[in-house]
Parts: sequence; C-alpha cells; structure tokens
Amino acid sequence: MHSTTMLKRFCVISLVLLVLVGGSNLAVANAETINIAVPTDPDSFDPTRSVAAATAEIAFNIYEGLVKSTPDGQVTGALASHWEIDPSLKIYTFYLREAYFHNGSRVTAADVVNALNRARDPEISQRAGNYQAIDSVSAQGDNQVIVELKEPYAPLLYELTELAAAVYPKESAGLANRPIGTGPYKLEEWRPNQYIKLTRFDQHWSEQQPFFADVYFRIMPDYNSAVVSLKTGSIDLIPRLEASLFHQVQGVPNLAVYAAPMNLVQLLAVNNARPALSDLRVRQAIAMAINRDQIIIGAAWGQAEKLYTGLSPAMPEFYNSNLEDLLPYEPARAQALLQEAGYANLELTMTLPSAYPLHVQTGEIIADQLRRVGINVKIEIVEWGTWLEKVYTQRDYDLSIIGLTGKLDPHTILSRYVSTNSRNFTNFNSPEFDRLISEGISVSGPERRSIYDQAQEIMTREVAGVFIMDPMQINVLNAQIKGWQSYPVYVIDVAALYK
Amino acid sequence: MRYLRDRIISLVVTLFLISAVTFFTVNVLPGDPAILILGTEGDPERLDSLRQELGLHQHALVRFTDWLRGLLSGNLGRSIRYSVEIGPLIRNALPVTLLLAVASVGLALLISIPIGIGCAVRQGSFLETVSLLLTQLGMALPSFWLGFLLIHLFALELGLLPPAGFSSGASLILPALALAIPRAAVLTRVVRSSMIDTLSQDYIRTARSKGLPQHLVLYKHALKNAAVSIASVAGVHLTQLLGGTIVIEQVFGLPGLGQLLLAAALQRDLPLVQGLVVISAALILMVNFGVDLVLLGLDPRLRYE
Amino acid sequence: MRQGNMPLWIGVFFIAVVAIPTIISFFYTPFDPVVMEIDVRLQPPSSAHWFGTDQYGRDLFSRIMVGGQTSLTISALAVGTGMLIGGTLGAFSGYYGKRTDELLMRIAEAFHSFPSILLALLAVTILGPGQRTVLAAIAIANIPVFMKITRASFMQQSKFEYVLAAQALGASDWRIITRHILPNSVRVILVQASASFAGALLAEASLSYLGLGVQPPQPSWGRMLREVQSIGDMAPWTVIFPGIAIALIVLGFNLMADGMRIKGK
Repeated sequence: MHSTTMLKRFCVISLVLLVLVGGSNLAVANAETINIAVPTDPDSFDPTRSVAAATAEIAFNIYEGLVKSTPDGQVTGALASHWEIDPSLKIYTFYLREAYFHNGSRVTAADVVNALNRARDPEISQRAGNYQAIDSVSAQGDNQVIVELKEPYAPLLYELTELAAAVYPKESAGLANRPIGTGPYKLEEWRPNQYIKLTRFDQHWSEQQPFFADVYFRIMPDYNSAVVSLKTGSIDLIPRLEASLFHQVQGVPNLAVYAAPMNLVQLLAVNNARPALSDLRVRQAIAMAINRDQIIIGAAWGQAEKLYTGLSPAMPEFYNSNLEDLLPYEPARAQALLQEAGYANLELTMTLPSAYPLHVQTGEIIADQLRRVGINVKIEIVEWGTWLEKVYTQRDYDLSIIGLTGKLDPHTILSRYVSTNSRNFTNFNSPEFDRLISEGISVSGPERRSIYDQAQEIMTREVAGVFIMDPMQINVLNAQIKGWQSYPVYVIDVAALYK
Repeated sequence: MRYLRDRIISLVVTLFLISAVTFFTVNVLPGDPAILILGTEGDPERLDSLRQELGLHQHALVRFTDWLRGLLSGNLGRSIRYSVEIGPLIRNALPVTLLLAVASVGLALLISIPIGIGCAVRQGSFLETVSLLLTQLGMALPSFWLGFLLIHLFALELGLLPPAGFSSGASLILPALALAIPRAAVLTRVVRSSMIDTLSQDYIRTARSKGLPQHLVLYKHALKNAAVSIASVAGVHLTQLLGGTIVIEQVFGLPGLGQLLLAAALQRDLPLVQGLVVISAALILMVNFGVDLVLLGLDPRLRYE
Repeated sequence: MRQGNMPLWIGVFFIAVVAIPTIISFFYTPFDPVVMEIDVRLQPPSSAHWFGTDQYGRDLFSRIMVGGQTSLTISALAVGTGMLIGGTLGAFSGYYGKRTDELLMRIAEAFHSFPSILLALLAVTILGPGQRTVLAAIAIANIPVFMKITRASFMQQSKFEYVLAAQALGASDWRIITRHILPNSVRVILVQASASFAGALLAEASLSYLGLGVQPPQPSWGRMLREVQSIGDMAPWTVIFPGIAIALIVLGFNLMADGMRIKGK
C-alpha cells in the first residue's frame, strides 16, 4: 500500500509543481512590451570594462556619450547638442544639453571629464588604446567640455560614439551590473542566461518618448529556437539572424525582414610570419585559389557581399572598390605560383573558432578549394577561448577564419595591420603600409581617402589576409513592429521602434 | 545509524575529491580567462593588470584553498563572465533543471506504469507486441532529434505549446516529454518484467483464487511488490537527468544548469564552472542517498544486506 | 523459444542493414564524401543521389556510409575500453569484497555523480574536440556501468556452492575466476555491452550535436545532424536519413541485447 501511494504521489507532485509554476509565472501579454532575442549575455555594463559587441548593442539604449552614431554611419550629437573644432584640428569644444542620469541627477561637465579621463587611462580602461590621441579633457563651467589632442586625429568623433566613451555619474560604482546612464532606457533587471529587462526612462532629453515601456532582451543561444519563437509570437525581434536560417523567415506573412551590410570583415587570416607563408608568392597563390562566389553561396546562403579589402562597403566613403582584379580567382595561376615558390605539396593547418558556424563553414569550403590547387589543409576546430589564446594572442597558427567588427572610422579598422600593432595577429609587415596609416590620421577630405585607397591596395596585394565577405545583417521583426533602423555598428535602436 | 553516518562521511569525502579534481583540471586547461575577456577588440597591453585583478597571478594551491574556504562559508565567488555573485546565478538556474528532471521522471512513470502493467497482464497479446515495439523505438531516437520533432509538431504545426525559452510551466512540457519518452521506454520494460515476476508468485495466485477483483490485485498487491525495482530505476534516471539535461536545454533554449555550465566552460569562467560542478555533484549525491533511503523504506529486507 | 529468438534476429538484421554499407565504404562510395560541389547543393533524392545532397553538394548516401565508420568505431572502442577497465575492476571488487570493494565502489560512485557532460567538456578542453575526446568521454562514462554489473554478477556467483566448493578444494583465485565465475558472467556483460553500444552511438550523436565531436570534413552521423539542423524544413532528407541510420542501428543493438537476455533464460 505504502509504496504504491508513494509512486503515485511522486507523479502527482511533479504535475502539480508544473502547473503551479505555470500559473504563477505566466507572462502577461502587454502591448507596450517588446521581446528581443539575443544570443549571449553582455560581458559587463561598465563602459571601461566591456569589449563585447553583444554588450554594445544593448548598452546603446542605456548609455550615451557626447556624440552617437546614426544609421548611415555619421556622427550626431547626444549629450553634446553641438561642438566646435578649432582650425588647428586639435581642440574640440562640446556644448552639453540639459540631460539627466537614470538616478535623477543632472549631467555636468565634471561627469563627462571624469568619464573620458577614465576611458583613456590604461590602468582603468580595457579600450584605452583608442583614446591615446587625447592630451587633456577639461570642463569649462557646468556645460562645456574641452578635449585637447596631442596632434590632429581624424577618428576622434567616431571613437567618442563607442560605449567606452559613455558618460556616467562621477561618483558611481558597480556599473558592471547596475549601469547608470542617460539613454532612453534604464536597466531594470538582469538575470544572466535568461533575460535583461529595460524600462523606459521618462526624463530622457529627447522630446520623443519611446513607444515600448518594457524591453526584454531574452538570451537564446540557439537561433533555431529563436526563429520558432518569433513565428509563434513569443519573440518580436531577432537582430543579426544567421544566414543559414534566412530561408525560414523569408516570405512568412507576419514577419518583416531588413537586410543590410553588417560592416564585418570576414577574412582568411594568413600568418605572414610562418616560413612558407612569409613567401609572398605562396600568399598570393592562396588568394587566387579562393572562389568567393562559392563560399558566399555555400556558407552564407548568398547573403553577403564579396570583399577584396579590409574595409566593408558599409563604409562607402573609404571603401576601395577597385581591388577585385588584383588577385582574381585563377586556380591555374595559383598552382603555377606554388610551383615557382617550390611548395608544390604544401601542408597547412587551419584553426577555426567553433563558436562561429559561419567561419567554420567558410573554412571548410576554403580548405576544399585549397586542396584543389595542391595545398593540403588540415582543419582544427577549437573553442573560442583556445582560439583567442592560440591564434589571436600567441599568433601560433597557419591559417584561420575570423570576422573583425567594423567601426565607423577606417583608421580604427586598418591600424591593426600596422607591423607594430599589438592586435596585428596576421603578422603583416609592410613599411609602406605603416607609413600610410600614420599619415591618415592627420589629414581629411579627398587626401585622406586617397591615402586609405593606397593602404587598402597594399594589404590586398601583399595579402595581409584574404578578405572574403561582409555578411548581411538580417534583422527579422514581427511585421506589426515598425521603425527598425540598421546601423553599420553594433546597435539595436529600441527607442526608434513602435507598433 | 552507523549506515547513515558512513554514508554521510562518504558523501563529504566524495564531494571534496570532486572539488579538487575539478579545480585542478580546470586550472591546467589552456585558455586564459583574461584573454577571453579582452576578445579581439581589447588592448593586449591590459593582459597583465587584468590577470592581477582576477587573482590569476597567485599559485593554484593558494587559489584552491581560498576557494574552499569561500565554499564552506557559502560564498562561491564571483563569475568572471557575468560580473555577479555565483550563488544567485546558480539559484536562478537550479529550479529549471530540477523541475525539468522531476517532471521528466514523473511523466515517464505516468506513461510506463499503466502500459507496463497492461503488458504484464496480457502477455503475448497484440497490445504487448505494439507496446514493446514502441518502447524499442523510443529508446533508439536521439533526444535532440525527438526535440526537433516535438517542436515541429506541437509548437509550429499545432501551436499548442511554447517552442522554446522559459516563461511558464508550459515551457517545460515539451522538453520534459522529449526526455521522458526514452526513459518511459526503459521503465515500461522494468514495470512489465517485475510485474510478471510478481504475478507468478504464490500469494498473488492465492489472492486471485480468493476472488479479489483484478484491479485490487494489481494495484494493491502486485505493484507494491514491484515498486522497489521501479523506484530504483526511476532514481537512477533522476540522478542522470540532474547532470544530463544539457542537450535538451540547448534544443529548447532553457536557462538551466546545463546551459549555464556549457556557457561557463566555453567562456572559461573558472569560478562558475567549479561552483556548478560542485553544486550539481552535491545534488546528485544527495538524490542518490535519498533514493537509497526510499528503497530501504520500501523493502526492509535490504536493511540486512 | 522460437518467439524468443525473434528480437535477436531482427536486431542482427537492422545492424547489418547499416553496418554492411559502412564496411563497403572502406573500399567504395558512389561519390567522394568530402569534396564539395556547390552547384548541386541541396538536391532532393534522385537516381544519381539516392539520399540527395547536402548544403555543400556532397552526396548524402556516401556521407552516411562513411559517417558510419566514425560513429561505429568510436562506439566500439569506447565500449570496449569501458568494458575492459570496468569489468576488471568490478571483478576484483565483487570477488574480493570488503575493503577493495568499498574503495572501488566509492570511486565508481564519485565518477557516477560527476555530470557526464562536464566530463565531456573537460575532455574537449584537454584533448581538443575530436574523435579521441568523444571516445575518452564515452569510455569513462561506461567504466562504472560495467564495474557495477560485473561486481554484482561476481558477488552473486562467489556465494554459489560450486565456487565455495572449488575454494575448499584449494583452487587458486585466478582459476576460480577464469574457469568458473567468468563463463557464467559473460552473458550479463555481453548483454550490457550491446546495450552500452546503443547508448554510445546516441552519446556520440549528442556530443556532436553540441559541437564537441568529430571534426569536419570527416563525417559522422551526429555532426551531419548538427550541420543541417537549420535547413531541416527546407531539405528534410538531410535530417531524415542520418536520423534513420542512427535509430536503426541503435534499435538493432537494443533488440540484440534483448534477444540475448531472453535466450539465456
């Protein structure tokens, strides 16, 4: 008797538990709530700490800097209503508007000075390297901030749009999980691995109130389940959907798809310091053995633009579009070059980051293409941590595939190929290229464009890496939601969305 | 009493061994958490100072004793990845996995007991053949594949249940079903064979010949006797599930212990991995212990072994 | 008895259906399973490509044939290792009892309580993802299983009169174990091996689904399923055929285990 009841009781209890949890936790459908699927948690909401793109796209809604980027890649005022640049191009004066932090206090020049000084302090900030051009930051009165540069530095305004230059109250602590910014939304709750909840900030300086009062960023590492949730309505928006899932949302009546270049440079990283690969002919042979059309069909489902340079066409002002014929797809010539260099039977290892299916698939296709010209490629798939350590930091690899996040200014993107740069993980070494990059920061207009044109040609011709594609960012929304804006940087502009 | 004491000592020793093994394996692994934090955009110049901040410059033994001390005072440290205390992180994820595991075993029992009994009573019948065939099929399907199928059928085609994520108890029904089906298959066979054994025994025949109604014979006398083997198999499944829901959590996007662990291991969030392993191991050992106690309660004969 | 043999023979038949093409694949496949032909990607089953092609235009039938090599080899080696180590330890534990037993069983319990997926994750980070890793993880997970089953069988047997008699006659432990107990335990162990084999195939598929398994371009059934997860609705054949291959052979081994159990009774 006893034992039978126990079994029965166990079944009943487990069912009751299910129902109880079901009853108490049922999400209340609310017209002013939006659910957004994101693949990972932010790393940290402390602007001096965060380096992940996953954080930046959420933090865009919470934090603001003096300036921010626009959907077409320009710079517009945020906390600064306007600014003046001295003719020497070395002194920037920013005029603050009346704005409030999420804790209710007014934004003062002292807060801005504190935030910028911390951002450029290598002892404090993870991204200090980007702000080394700044000589001093000072306040003039309560609403003017003066930034003085050591020498003219064209990318400055773009760098100030980054999360690393966001402004927070001078005396704040613990921003990592309790951010205090000035953005249109404030953080209400962060449940790691589950969701991040933002609520509308009613004191935002902008006249226009965002439509959605509550925003949930739900952590869904698997895009398949995110897509299913979107179709059944429990998710309203998937930003940056993987291309392999594009066909699942295409032509579905209640979904709206917005595609735009991602401003991500995917490249076959070629370790220029490896014996065989230090031979320019071998690198060029590799470049000419690669058929980008096939890769884009096979790995990106046709949803990408071909690249022949380290900049993305998402930056039309600087993108050099004349490099296509420099090292075209010609397997026969590739084979000849390998013969000439004495590497008819080359063995190479390609190290791929398992966290990124697009890069792994691209790598598989490239390995196949290289085998056809006689380069035997062994594929090694490693975890992200191992990849960062082995490939990126120790530069102990032959070939790899990775995507480098686009920025708004070409200098930020191209300077990583300068021979002495600590992020130059392909070990590219071209004195001419180095010279051009250091010239590029102090000039502007057509002259600047011409310098970057030359620099791009060098890195393509001398194969700093083989640039493959800029994948499309595919943003999918419930069709009832309007106002989506695609940015060339990692941004999910929730305030612009409405129903 | 002595049995209890021995079991508890053994539990503590096992837990300590697991903590030590985990800590040192995790710490010799390649992949520096400081490098992971910096990613492809941070300044490599910051590596050393970041290592200092994370306490990685200290000797592994020092870190281990520090960590053990924290563990004993209930402080699991801070997660590197999420910059928050580990305790609440695990507390948020634990109920999901626990509920999922319990619900799966519950569902499996609910499915298997009636079918198993049916098979035992009507041996050689058409019902038995079909059920046995189905149980074989249930055991042969990979659980994630079953998961795809259930999502496709119940969430997409029929729109009855939420496909993914954890918003309500209803979110757990499909994943629990995906986990329960292969287990129900195993349990059905256990129920069937132990019922067959029991039904052939004399006292059941006596009960029957006395004219006791069939359902009373089955549910009051026979099932009681079969309960020991059913409970012990169910217990094994419960402990397996506490550490083994990760694939299904992945398929259904459930924020349970498994997903947290996979994310932590891939991100080399060492404190979090350690915390998770020790907590899961403790949980499993305790459930094991609990199951043994239940078995002792069910079958007094075991006490003298 | 005749009816009792049915599961065994059906099991053997299912295993053969999957294993024979796998064996043939060592010598011959209709297409190269690795070389990509992007132009013929995602073709539905046809007379040229019996099971259709995948997202890189590779012939699925050839890939499933070759994929079997990986999945079956890993499972066989892993279960073999687990059986050898676990069986030996279990035999010692069961035969000698007392201290040895207590110590070994405590270690087995510790292993058992260790989440097996973490074991796999640890193995991946130490050995790197790939065949060896999956093999090690499955083998280690199988050790306590074989240990428990062998121990139980040995414990039971060593209390039987014929063993006690042999001991009284002064037979050596080695002789008793190999001549008397082992032959009587073999069936139990083999039944477990067949069931474990089925489990190992499923474990390989799951680990590959999580991306911890075999490396491309080498195919394995689990990895194939992972790669096509997102295109299942568009090209169902890519999901269905590898799934059937797994289900069929797992079913085969489970039925075989059943058949052996029945036959022995």
